[in-house]
Amino acid sequence: MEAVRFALRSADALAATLNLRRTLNCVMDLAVPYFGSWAGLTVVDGQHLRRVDSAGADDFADSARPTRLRDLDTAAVDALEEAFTRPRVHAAPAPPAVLTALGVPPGSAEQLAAPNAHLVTVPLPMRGWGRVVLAVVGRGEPGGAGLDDFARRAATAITAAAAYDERATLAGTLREALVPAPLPVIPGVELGASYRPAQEATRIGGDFYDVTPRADGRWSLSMGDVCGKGVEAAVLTGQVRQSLRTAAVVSDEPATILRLVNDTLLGTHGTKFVTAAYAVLKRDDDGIHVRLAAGGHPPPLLLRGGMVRPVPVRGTLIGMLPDVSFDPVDLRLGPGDLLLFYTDGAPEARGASGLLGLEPIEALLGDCAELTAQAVTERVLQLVLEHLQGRPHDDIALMAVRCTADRPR
Amino acid sequence: MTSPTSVASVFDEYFAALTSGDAGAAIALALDELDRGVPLIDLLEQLVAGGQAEVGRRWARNDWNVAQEHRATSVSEEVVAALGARATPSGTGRRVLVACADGEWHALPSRVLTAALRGAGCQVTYLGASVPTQHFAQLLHELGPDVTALSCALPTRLFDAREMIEISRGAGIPVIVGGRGFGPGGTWGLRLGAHDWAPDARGALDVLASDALPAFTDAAPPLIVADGAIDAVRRRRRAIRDESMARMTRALPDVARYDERQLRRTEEDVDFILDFLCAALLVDDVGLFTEFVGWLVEILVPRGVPAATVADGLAVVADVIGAEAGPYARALEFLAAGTAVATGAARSAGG
Repeated sequence: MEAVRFALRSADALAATLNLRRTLNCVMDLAVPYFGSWAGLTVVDGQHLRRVDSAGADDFADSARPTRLRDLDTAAVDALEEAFTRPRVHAAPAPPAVLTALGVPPGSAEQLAAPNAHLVTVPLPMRGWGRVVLAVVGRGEPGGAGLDDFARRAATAITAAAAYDERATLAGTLREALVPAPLPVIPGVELGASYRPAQEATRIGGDFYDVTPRADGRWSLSMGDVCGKGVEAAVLTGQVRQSLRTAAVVSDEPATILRLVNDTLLGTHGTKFVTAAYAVLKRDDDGIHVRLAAGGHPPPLLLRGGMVRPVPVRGTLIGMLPDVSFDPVDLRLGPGDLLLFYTDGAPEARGASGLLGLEPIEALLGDCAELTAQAVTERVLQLVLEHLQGRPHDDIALMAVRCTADRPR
Repeated sequence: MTSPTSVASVFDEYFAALTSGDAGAAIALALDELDRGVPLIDLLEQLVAGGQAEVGRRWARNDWNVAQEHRATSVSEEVVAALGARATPSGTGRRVLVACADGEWHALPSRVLTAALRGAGCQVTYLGASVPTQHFAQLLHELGPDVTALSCALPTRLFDAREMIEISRGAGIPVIVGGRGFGPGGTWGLRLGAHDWAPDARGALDVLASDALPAFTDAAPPLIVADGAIDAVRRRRRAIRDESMARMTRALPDVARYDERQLRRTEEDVDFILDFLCAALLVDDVGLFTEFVGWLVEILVPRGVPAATVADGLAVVADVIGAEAGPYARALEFLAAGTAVATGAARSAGG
C-alpha cells in the first residue's frame, strides 16, 4: 500500500514542474526518507559535473559553478564511469573513490558503517540529456521496493525539464530583444508606459514603443502596431524598430523617417504593414517642443488644463503603398501638459457591452491632470482591462509624455 | 546599534518630503539613515511603509486628493528603488518570485518586500503590479522559485489570487501571501490555499527563515463553494448594475440630482459593491463585505455622500438581485448585513 502511495505521490510531484533545478531537487525530496537517509544526483554533461543532494547541495543554483571533470582524481572518474554503466550496491565500507565521485558527505558516509547499511547507485535511463546517476545511502533491503521504477520516472521528468530549460533559455533571450526596453530618464520630461500583449503568457506582441536619444541632444519617440499577432508580429516589430533607429540617424524629420521605413518595408518580402507615430522631442526652458508625424496610427491625446483633445496628425498606413504622405504637426507641451500615445487595442477592447471606444479613455484622461505619466498609463490600462473582464484582446500599448513643472537642469 | 526611535525622529521630515513630492530630499534622508547604520528593514517598514500608511489615511479622510496621493506614492517608489539599489548584496539565499495578482495595481508593498528580501540575501524576481496570470504560470517554470510571494491590497482581486495560488501549488511551489486584501491575519489568503501569511516585510522574512514552508507542495485544496451564488451574480453583473442605477435615479432624491460625473462615480461604486460581494462569497465571509461597507461609508461621507444614501443604495442592489429567482440566499444575507452597517453609521451620524 505504502509503495502504491509513494508511486502516485512521485508521479504527481515529478509531473508538476518543468523547471530543471526544481525537478532535480524534487527527486531528492521524494527519495529521502523513503529510500534512505541521504540521496544525491550526479549529472555529467560534457566535461562538467554538477550535483544536487538531499543535504542541500545544489550546483544548479545560479551562483553555483560546475566542477570540471578533469579536476577529479582518476580513481573517482573511473568510479563514476562504473556507476553510469550499471546499478550497484556497495556494502560498507564503500571505496573512497566512489564516495568522492558521488559527493557523499562525511556524515552519510559514516552511516555506512552501521549493520545492514549500503550505498546504492542507479544510472538513470536518460534520453538525450547528459548522464545522471542516483545514489542513495540506506539500510535494510538495498534500494527498498521500487527504486528502479522511481529512477525511471525521475529520468523521464529530468529529460523533459532539461529540454524545457534549453528552450526557455533560448526563448527568454529572444524575448528580451523583442519586449519594449525600459524608458530612459529625461530631465524635465516625465515618461510612462504600459503594455499588455494579446499573448499574455509570452508577453510579446505586435505593438511597440521606444524612446531613444538622438545625437543632437533631442529625443526620438515612437509607437507602432504591426500587422499580425504573437511571435511573428514581434519579429516584425524588431525589424521596424531597427529601421526607425537607422532612419533617425539620417534625418530629424519625422515624416522623412516614416517614409524611409515605408520604403524599407516595401523592399522586403511579403505583406507587412505597420501603423506608427513618430515624434522628435526637445525640452527647452519653456516646455517640450514636439514635431510629430503618424502613419495610419490613432492620433495621440493631448491633456491640457483638464481638457482632452486628439492631436490632428494624419498619414498613410506604412508598408502598403509606394506613395505615402504624412502631415506632420508641431506642438508645444507646457508644464503639466501630457500627451498620451496609444494603439487601437485600447479603444477597440471588446467587453460585454461592445467596444470600449475612445470617449471613456478621454473622460478618464481628463481626470488625470495631476497624476504621474506612469500612473496615467496604468489607470488607462486598468480601465481597458476592467472593460474586458478577462476577455481576449488585441495587443495594447500606452505611452504618456508629460512636461514637468521644474526646469531641466 | 541604533535605537528604535531613530527612524521616528526623522519621520516628520521624511513625510514633509512626501507631501511636497520632493523625491530627492526623501531619498537623501533615507540613504543617510542607511549610512548611519539603521537597518534596511527598519527604513522600509517604518519610513516607507509607515509614510505610505499615513498617505492612505489622509486620502481616506479626503484631506488629500488623488493627485497628492499619487505624487507621494511615486516618491515612495523612488525611495524603495534607491534603498534597494544601495543595499542589495548578491544573494545566494532562497529564490522568491514576488507578484501582484492580475488587476492589483498597488505595487508599493511588493516593492518594499522585494527590497527587504534582497537585503536579506534572497534571490528575488519582481514581476510588478497586475501580472497576467498566464505570464505568471509560464515564468514559474522558467524561474523555478522556491517560494511565491503574492501581494494583494484589495479583496476584489482574490479571484485572481486564488488562480495564482492554484498555479503555483500545481507546480509544487509553496505560496506566502501578504497585504490587506488577504484579510485580517491573512484568513482569506489561507482559505484560498496559501501556506502562510505575513503582516509585513519583516514577517515575510521570519516565515522564510522558519520551517513554515515546505520545499515542495501538493496541489491547492478545492474550494468549498456550495451554492452557485458567485457564478449567478457574476453572470448577471452588468444587468444588476444597470438596473440598480436606474432604480436609484428614480427612487433616491440625492442620486436623482447627480450630474453626469457623479453618476459615473456612483456606477463605479455599484461595480465595487458587486466586486466585494463576490469576493465575500468566494471566501464565504460576511465580514469581508461588512468591513467593505464600513470603509465605503468612511470614504464617501467626506465626499458628500451620506451614509443613509449608501444604505439605500445597498438595499436597491439587494432588491434587484432578489427580484430574480436563483441561488442568491447568501448574497442577499451579505447585502442585508452590509446595509445594516451603513444604516448604523447613518444613525450614529444623525444622533
